[in-house]
Amino acid sequence: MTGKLAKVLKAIDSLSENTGKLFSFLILIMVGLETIEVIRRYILHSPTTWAWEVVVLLYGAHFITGGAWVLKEGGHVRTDILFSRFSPKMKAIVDLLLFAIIFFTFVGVMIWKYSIHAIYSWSIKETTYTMWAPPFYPLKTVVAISFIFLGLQGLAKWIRDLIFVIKGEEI
Amino acid sequence: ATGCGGNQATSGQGSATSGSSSSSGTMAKQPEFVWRMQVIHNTGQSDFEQNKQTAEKIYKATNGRLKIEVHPNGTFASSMEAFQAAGDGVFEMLSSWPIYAKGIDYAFVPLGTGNLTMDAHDKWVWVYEAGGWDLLQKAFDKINLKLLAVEIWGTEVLMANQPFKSIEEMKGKKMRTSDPRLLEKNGVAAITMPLEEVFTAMSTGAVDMAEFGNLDWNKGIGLTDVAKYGIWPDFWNVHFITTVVVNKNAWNKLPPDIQQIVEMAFQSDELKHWTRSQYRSAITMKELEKSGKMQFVRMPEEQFIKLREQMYEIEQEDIKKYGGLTAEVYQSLYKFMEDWYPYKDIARWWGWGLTPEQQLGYQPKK
Amino acid sequence: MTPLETILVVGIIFLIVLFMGHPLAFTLGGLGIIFGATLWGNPGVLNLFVRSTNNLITSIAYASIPLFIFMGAVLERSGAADDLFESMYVILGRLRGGLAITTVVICTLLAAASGIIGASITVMGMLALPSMLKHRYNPELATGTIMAAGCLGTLIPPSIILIIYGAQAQISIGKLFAGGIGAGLVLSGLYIAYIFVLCLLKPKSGPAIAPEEAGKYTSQQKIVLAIKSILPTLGLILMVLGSILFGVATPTEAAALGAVGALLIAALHHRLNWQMVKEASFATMKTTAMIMYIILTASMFTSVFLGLGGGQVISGIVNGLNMNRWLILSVILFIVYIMGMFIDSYGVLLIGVPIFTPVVYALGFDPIWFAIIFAVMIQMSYLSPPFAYAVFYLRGIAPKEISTAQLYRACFPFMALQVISLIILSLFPAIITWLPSKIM
Ligand code: NA
Ligand code: NA
Repeated sequence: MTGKLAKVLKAIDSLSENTGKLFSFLILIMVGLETIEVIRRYILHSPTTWAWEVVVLLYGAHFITGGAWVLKEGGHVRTDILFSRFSPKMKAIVDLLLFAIIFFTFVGVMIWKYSIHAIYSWSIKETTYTMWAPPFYPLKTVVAISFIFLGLQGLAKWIRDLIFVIKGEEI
Repeated sequence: ATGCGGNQATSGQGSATSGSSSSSGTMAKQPEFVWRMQVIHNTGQSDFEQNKQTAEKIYKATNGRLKIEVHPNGTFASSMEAFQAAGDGVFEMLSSWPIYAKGIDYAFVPLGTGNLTMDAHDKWVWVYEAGGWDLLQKAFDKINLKLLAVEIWGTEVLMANQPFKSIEEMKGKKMRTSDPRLLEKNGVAAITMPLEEVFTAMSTGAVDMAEFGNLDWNKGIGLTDVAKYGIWPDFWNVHFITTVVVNKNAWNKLPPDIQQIVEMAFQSDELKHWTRSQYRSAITMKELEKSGKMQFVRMPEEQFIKLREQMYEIEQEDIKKYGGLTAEVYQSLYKFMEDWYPYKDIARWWGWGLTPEQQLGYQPKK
Repeated sequence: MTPLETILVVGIIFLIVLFMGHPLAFTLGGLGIIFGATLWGNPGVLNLFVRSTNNLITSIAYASIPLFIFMGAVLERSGAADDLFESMYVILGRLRGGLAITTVVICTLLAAASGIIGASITVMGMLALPSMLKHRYNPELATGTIMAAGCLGTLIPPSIILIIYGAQAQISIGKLFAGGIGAGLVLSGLYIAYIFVLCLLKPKSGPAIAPEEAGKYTSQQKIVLAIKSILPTLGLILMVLGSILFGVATPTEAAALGAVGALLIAALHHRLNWQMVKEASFATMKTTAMIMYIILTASMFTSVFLGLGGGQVISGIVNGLNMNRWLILSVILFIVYIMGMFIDSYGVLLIGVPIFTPVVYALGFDPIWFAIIFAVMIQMSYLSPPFAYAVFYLRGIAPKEISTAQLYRACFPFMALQVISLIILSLFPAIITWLPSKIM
């Protein structure tokens, strides 16, 4: 039973991590596009109307997909002045409680509302507001999925904390 | 009615409107309806101040039954997001430029503005008399909004580092604009950058010219400090429509008497944005000229005749590409122009094209 | 509940959750949603959070954050940052606190290249902190320097906060930029003076190179070191800055140029390879996501705070004041500081500018002077515990041995310096107002 569960939790971990790693390479495209744009405008006097917008859309996809990976690594910062003095069990209990009330409210509402929003965006083939007007729905899909992955990673953490509190096991 | 939002009426400050406490005891103790309204401007700027005043009028006229709290741009949603947010019911009312909703339907572009299109005065006629209002409402139906009032902004100024006399001279130069379609066709390096970047770009020369708003508005944020020349005529946003819209669900909850008051209040001052922005721009221009800070240029008209033809081609491409409501709007505009311009041409104001002195009939003292 | 009671309840619950150690981003987002759903009075509020997300994922100004962080990550891995600080350590010789002073100088230059606080703090955390810790600097001095000097970007142009302030208060952004330079340099100078004096009195805070070590290098060797190690990185930062000042690039593009420059420097160091680029990309992603989730949820929380009547509460306090003009100003600045502890600086500006400017103008204070003083206060709120953005940003990248309590303690001396700067700027307002009056 725990073995099977551990496998599922591991799968969620690697999903978060690999997604984060994959999307982290967007930064290279952003750097390249901006540099080419400066050259085009300053040296060739023929800027594009779309480069900055592509960069902005990539930037949006970049950071939002990283949320689950950061959670997996325990990288979302907290005020640990009291927390760091708790025993491991106490830490897990506090997290169980606060993740249930606060984290899952946040991620639950974001998944719920943002998925509806992304579906709507597809249904009207929404574009951005600029004159170049690229499709907006791919980015919105990425955001919705990112919140789902964040929720999954949070669930994995919660189950781990629960098992730790009950059985004292770390899986 | 919303549960929170304050019953202590305070006045004269930012995010909240206020009923005045000086009125008689007939005021409702608790408003039956408390609405949040986001506007396109910041506090102190015209759209904010005017809507705040309107909200105060409504508060009094309804005996305190409807209280509208006016919040500046970006409080709940960015300008780009605000129409959808109002339709979603995040807040009840919005005053903003519908062009920001163009991601929903491209028709908001010809509904709201256009390169080398008609001026504000003519657009008013189209909106009220020739089908514009209904088309705007049809577009807003897609996002659950009811159109309450329309304001049409007048001519803007091009802020530039050089006294460009023609589009020809602008070739290869970098211009910040919200609408690059026509400029690109004419070799101008059109850049669509947002305000955060425009200011630095203008002051360092990363762009050679920028359109943003009317002269008075540009002076407010200091663009007149970094540009030497102001150039007309406005060919990029010849007019710009602002709309006051309300979430339909919220609207339907209002009793008819309050609905009537809200409509009347918002529609009563529609012209004021236009009159104020244009008059203040005139005064600003006089001051800037006097102090030698800026010089003003008018580009000759003739070159725009060909550009208008190009623009028509672009509009035809839009119709082909988007069809639907976009096509309907353009058709309505063309029909209107065909009816309107022959009349306007023959019946035009006697002073059109004369110098200021000729219009005055005397030589003003310098 | 009255708005005041509402805001008090919100604030208290917020602090409790924060101190129980729930991650800041989820505290802001989760409580924003809970308070919105229970107190807003309209189920439509839940869509607000969709809008906040869309707003942030399309923000050009914030797009410079990952770009700057990537520049820092590459510089760190190229060995250039290490070389720079090692060389400064040698070149500054017996000067105590030299690395911290170098950090302030670089932060000041970075501030002129970037308008956003999170970027400078994390970049300097990557570049300067390892060197300072290696040379046994007091961790509180090292981190305090980075957090405080990393905030200078709000004052030294370009500054997003001053742009928003100018647009809101209808003050020329150019004049605000000019005004911010003087105040920024005063702060930067105070930080340097403080580090210098502290290390003079307490040599262990920022130890200098040992005499026998220092003796190993001839002045000729030092010059070679300077050229080889300092010029590339310093040149890179100056290039980023110059590309903005000379109109080659916008601030966001300049950040990308900086990243390209960092890659070139890495190539010079023979460290440019796929492994390094990959690691730098991963590090960038983790730091960026950590910061941006805070910025995202802070904007959600701020919108809810505004919608629940936060502005009314504050205007109620300010409009009831009746005392000496300097006291009123102090109260206003204190409120700016308190607001900055809970909501993001955009929210502070949205509430503060319309409420405070009429009062302050009526008291006869200069609009540009006040705007800059306001920006100094916002900067201070970034450092003020418990809710100090600067601490959270640095926490994300600082080694685990440094405790959060240490980071909090590190803020206090620098906050005191900021108070001193306020006094100086009040006694000599021309530091702010002279340049704006001259250039335009
Ligand atoms: Na800056
Ligand atoms: Na703080």
